[in-house]
Amino acid sequence: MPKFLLVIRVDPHMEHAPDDADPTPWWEGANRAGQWLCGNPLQGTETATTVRVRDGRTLVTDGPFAEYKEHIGGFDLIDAPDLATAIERAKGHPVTRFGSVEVREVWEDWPLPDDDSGFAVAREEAKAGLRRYLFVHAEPASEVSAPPPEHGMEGWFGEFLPKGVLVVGHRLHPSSAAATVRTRDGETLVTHGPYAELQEQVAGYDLVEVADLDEALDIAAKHPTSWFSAIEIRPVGTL
Amino acid sequence: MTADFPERMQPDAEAALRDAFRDEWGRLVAALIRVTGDWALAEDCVQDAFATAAVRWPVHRVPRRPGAWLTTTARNGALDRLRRASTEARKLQEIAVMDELDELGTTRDSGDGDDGAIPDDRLRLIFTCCHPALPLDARVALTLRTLCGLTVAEIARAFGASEHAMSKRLVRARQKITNAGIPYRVPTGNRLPERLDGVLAVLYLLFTEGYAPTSGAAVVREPLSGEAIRLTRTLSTLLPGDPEVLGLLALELLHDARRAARADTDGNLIPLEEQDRSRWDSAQIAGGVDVLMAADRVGVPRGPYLVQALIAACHSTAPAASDTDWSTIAALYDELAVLAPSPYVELSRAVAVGMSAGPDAGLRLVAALETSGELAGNHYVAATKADLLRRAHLYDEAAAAYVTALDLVNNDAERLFLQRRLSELPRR
Repeated sequence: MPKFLLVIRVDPHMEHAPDDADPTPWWEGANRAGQWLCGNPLQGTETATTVRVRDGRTLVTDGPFAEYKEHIGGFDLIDAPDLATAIERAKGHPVTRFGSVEVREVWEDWPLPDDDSGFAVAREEAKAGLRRYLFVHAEPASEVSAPPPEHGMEGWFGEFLPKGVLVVGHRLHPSSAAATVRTRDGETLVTHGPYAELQEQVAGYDLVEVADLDEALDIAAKHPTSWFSAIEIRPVGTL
Repeated sequence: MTADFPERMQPDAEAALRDAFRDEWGRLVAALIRVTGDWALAEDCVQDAFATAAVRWPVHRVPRRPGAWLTTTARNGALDRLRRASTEARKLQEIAVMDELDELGTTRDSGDGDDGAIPDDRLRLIFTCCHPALPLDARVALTLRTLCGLTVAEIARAFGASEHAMSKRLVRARQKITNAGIPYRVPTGNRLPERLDGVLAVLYLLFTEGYAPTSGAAVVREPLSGEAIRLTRTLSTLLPGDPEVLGLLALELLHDARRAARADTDGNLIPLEEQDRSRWDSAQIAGGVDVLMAADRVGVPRGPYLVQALIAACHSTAPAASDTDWSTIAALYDELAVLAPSPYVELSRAVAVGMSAGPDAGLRLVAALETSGELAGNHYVAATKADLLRRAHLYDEAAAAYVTALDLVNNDAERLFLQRRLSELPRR
């Protein structure tokens, strides 16, 4: 069955009642329906760090790779037979009332542990002494330079899959095939196309489990995406 | 250089306190961060320990080993705070931390109270404060606060920021360290050289911000350059024999040795060639050259700080401006342009080439820089061009370039200097 990534976006300046924002009932519903695979809230963008590799040098910067009015506040991965069903599920998410939920189908071509046991790990807490980070891949700008061959995806998976670093991750279908769900004044709006007409769209994600930010930086710097685009590293938070 | 010392203190107590502040602050904060993992708590407890010392030492005499006394006092303060803050669920963790804290105290009490005890803590602290995942301004502020013990107000003043804004910057930086999982560790392996570059960049920024403020009225902010030199020296003892650390230390010492001659009594900037060289600190120049020789012995191939220090040494060891070995300096700038290419290096190269091969050769390099547009809007390009034109006796064109530079300059002292140069041009 196709899988969809729900990119949860929140406007940090938008006022709302905390009770109103609790996604637990939504999550329970998605789980009962057998749709919910895994997901996490993220810590605020003030904890974000972005990695780029240019001419063999790792460039580390504070903050996300692009500043939007709405920040990425979390993600959920769901099973759904088609986009319409995924959109229906996204509509009930409380964040649609004060932020937005971007629905993105994923490619299932990465050699990931994405049978049930793989997602079971993703649903658990990080092992003792380890932390989880979400890598948010930026869509490359048009003038891409190819990464050196030794930095291909196969090498990256080959190095980090056996180590258990990679919990779950996917490349996403193009943002032009996305849908964004918002609810305003009781009315639900579904926009087809990307979250916003900006260059820096989300192109993929990985959930990794490592000891600290330095390890996460090293792993991100070895990923081909950082060689021709950027990877934003976001520490996973708790509700 | 800080802490609110009581007014009429015994001279020996005052001196002991200042020495202890300089020698122990960073070490104490670094050790307390290691055992508690809490940056704010560590800073507060060390601050409190010095405040207690300021009250007690003049009355009860200075302890035999001030460092050990301060360690015990700061540790006890941390234990008190942890006990008070602890909830039942955190008891075990608290005891674990306390054990480590006790160990910290006993290690230092049983030692002779100087460097040997816990050598790595300050090194960890330097690398964590200068972590590239923190914004650059926060790296600088955090370094000054945790390693040098400057108060938030002092740091805010040094950078022309409000105390509130500076405090917020520090809080955010500490939160990012905790929440994003920035490790409190000296990087190892391949990571070390790249991260060390970042540390040196922060120290050099600190030095230049003290030596040549980018805005405002002062020519030199001595405290910042002094702190930068002290930190670089500490780093050179923690990473002995690293040629770039030594290169940076030599560079800072050689520049700083010219401090007294850099401005007149009214605060007007005096260019190198017009400075009264008898006012240069010859002992510090000798010290800088010694460090430089040590660095150059290990430094193969040379790094950018070492090359810059060699350039500074060429200037500092010339008995008079006319003795300056400009062809060596021009060759060193050629080397630097390869190691650390930047439009600023090109500009300095233009000056050196102008002096060694004539103003026309220098003007050709400035023209190339102008064509590249890399420093568009920067007053140094226009000021350099003006100076080369003046040396070429093209006074009308020089005047126009000085006017352009005056339109762009932000620092008051440099503005006065440019105005003087303009007014001194021969009239026809």
